[in-house]
Amino acid sequence: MKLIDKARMKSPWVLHYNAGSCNGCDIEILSCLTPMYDLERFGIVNVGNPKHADVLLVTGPVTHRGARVLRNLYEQMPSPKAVVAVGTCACSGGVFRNCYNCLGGVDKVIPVDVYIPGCAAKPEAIIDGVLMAVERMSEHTPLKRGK
Amino acid sequence: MGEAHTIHAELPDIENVQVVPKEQLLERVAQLAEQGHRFITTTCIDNGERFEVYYHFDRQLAMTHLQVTIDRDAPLPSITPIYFCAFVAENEMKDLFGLRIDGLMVDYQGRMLVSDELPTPPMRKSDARRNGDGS
Amino acid sequence: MAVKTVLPFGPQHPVLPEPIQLRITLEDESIGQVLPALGYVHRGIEKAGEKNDYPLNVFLVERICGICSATHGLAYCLAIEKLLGIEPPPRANYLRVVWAELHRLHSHLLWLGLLADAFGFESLFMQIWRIRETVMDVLEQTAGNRVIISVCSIGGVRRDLSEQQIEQTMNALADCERQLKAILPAILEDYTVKKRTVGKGVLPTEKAIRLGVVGPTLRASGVAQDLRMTGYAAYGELGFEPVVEQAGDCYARAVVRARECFQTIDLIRRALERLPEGDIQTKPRGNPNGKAIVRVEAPRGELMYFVVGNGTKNLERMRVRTPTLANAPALLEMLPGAEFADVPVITLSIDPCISCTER
Ligand code: SF4
Repeated sequence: MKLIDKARMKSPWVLHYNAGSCNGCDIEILSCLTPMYDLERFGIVNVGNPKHADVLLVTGPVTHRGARVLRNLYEQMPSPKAVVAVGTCACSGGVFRNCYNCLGGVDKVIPVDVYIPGCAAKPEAIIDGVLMAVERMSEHTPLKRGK
Repeated sequence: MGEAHTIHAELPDIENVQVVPKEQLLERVAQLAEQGHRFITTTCIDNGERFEVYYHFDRQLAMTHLQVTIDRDAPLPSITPIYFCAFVAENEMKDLFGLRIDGLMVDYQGRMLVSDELPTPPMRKSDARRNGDGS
Repeated sequence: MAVKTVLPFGPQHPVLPEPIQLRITLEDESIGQVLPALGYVHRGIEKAGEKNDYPLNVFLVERICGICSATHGLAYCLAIEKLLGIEPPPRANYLRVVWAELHRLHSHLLWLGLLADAFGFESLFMQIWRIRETVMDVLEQTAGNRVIISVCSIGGVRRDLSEQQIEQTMNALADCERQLKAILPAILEDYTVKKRTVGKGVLPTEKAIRLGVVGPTLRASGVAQDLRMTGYAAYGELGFEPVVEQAGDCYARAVVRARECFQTIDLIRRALERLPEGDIQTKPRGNPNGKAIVRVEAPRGELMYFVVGNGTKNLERMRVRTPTLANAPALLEMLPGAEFADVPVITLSIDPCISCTER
């Protein structure tokens, strides 16, 4: 198990889901993968399959329909796993807090390990957040927050 | 903004609005299509009593608007047989205002944007608001 | 015999940055019918726009779509200014053009990158996004944020440009133009790229108008229509000519956007050279009353705001018609009959922005 843990720390795979964001944070996540910021130098790879992913990056205030997909994705990910809420609206609902179709934050649906504020969150902050999530995961301290 | 309201001599309004009765709507829309107008969108305004539905068209950067006023529960004919692209806008009105639209070519049954968690059309003004107490 | 398969494409899919589901009926390899399932990003912004005070709405509408946020803010401010009967000072008008065009530039570059990614040309994607970072740096330098720049306010703009910032912007633009000139032939004259785009998803002029498409998609079908021709903000004084292509296929749409990148750089230069001196803000007074419609050209096409005021600080109704809402129905016409492998390219060719569409 030690070896697998080490491998996970050196190369965490991330899955990105947009749960109703304005795209601002999504394009910043994409920017992180491009040469200027280059997440891949930390071994971080963006994947499309939840069954391969270690870290879930969620943007957006979570709409009713998005919540179902989000729960689904989270359940499909193997443990240990970490969830990162990217952007103010994923943390708390932000400007969309009063909208009728928003739940107001990722933690209303699934437990969140790292919150990255900022509207849009800066690429530097996103990189930091992902690395922090990986650290948490390796400490084996999954947050026990209500669902 | 605590300042007093500026009194406009005349309120700003949109130009080139043609008020059409519901029965003539399809005919007028067909005429506009014939003349090569591009359909822009529809707007529904709930004025508390009735729905004002605007249809916006464009031709060489000049806009034409058709306005239909209908009762809140009365059905409106769909213009999708003429402008197929109107299905998005019409389904949206159906979702958000609970407007009844007959003859939609692609019908999402009022569930295009909103899901079952919201049972009532969210933009429709409630009866309380209509009577002037609270919003 | 053709085998019919119904394929759900999305809402979470590696090639889709945004959640939308396309239910595709396949007959062997070709596409029969397509039906989009929406609602994953619907937040209810039109309703929220009625609850907020009207000056606060600027921040809300900017977050309808992060990629063209400057244009949303601009359109909303123009509409409210129309209702209040105020005019922004000339310097503010020019600055609005500068930021709106910078946003268009970054949006078009983003799209060119995604297009390259859609054929699996990953190194080109990376290169184009590297160029895009030059523009993002300019935005961060001048407006203080990379994506949501929040520069427009009712009656003017929130920030001014110093001499030094203008010079830096000019240098960055020159840099960007040089790199783009070097890299664009790689995408527009490449044999494989042409193979994947020429003659795909053709939209003839007549059909384009009937389907109500807007923006680069419409201009690629031979219609010279660009809302900047109406001369809002300072466009009237900058001498604007729309970019038009005739073929109406995916390739033509790519060419329109590529040529618009250079046009945008030119417009920013001209606006910065002629930047008038003076104030940047007119004080808004009173509350909006009446009805107004404003249309502006967002990176993806025509953006319409219809606002109704009732003399209080809240709006009676705020209707937003975003460009993708108009372009999406065309997809249902273009996709049937195409090969399944062309779905990503054709879908991408209208530059879809789902968070705009659903608001
Ligand atoms: S935090 Fe801001 S930029 Fe990010 S998705 Fe939300 S509204 Fe958009």
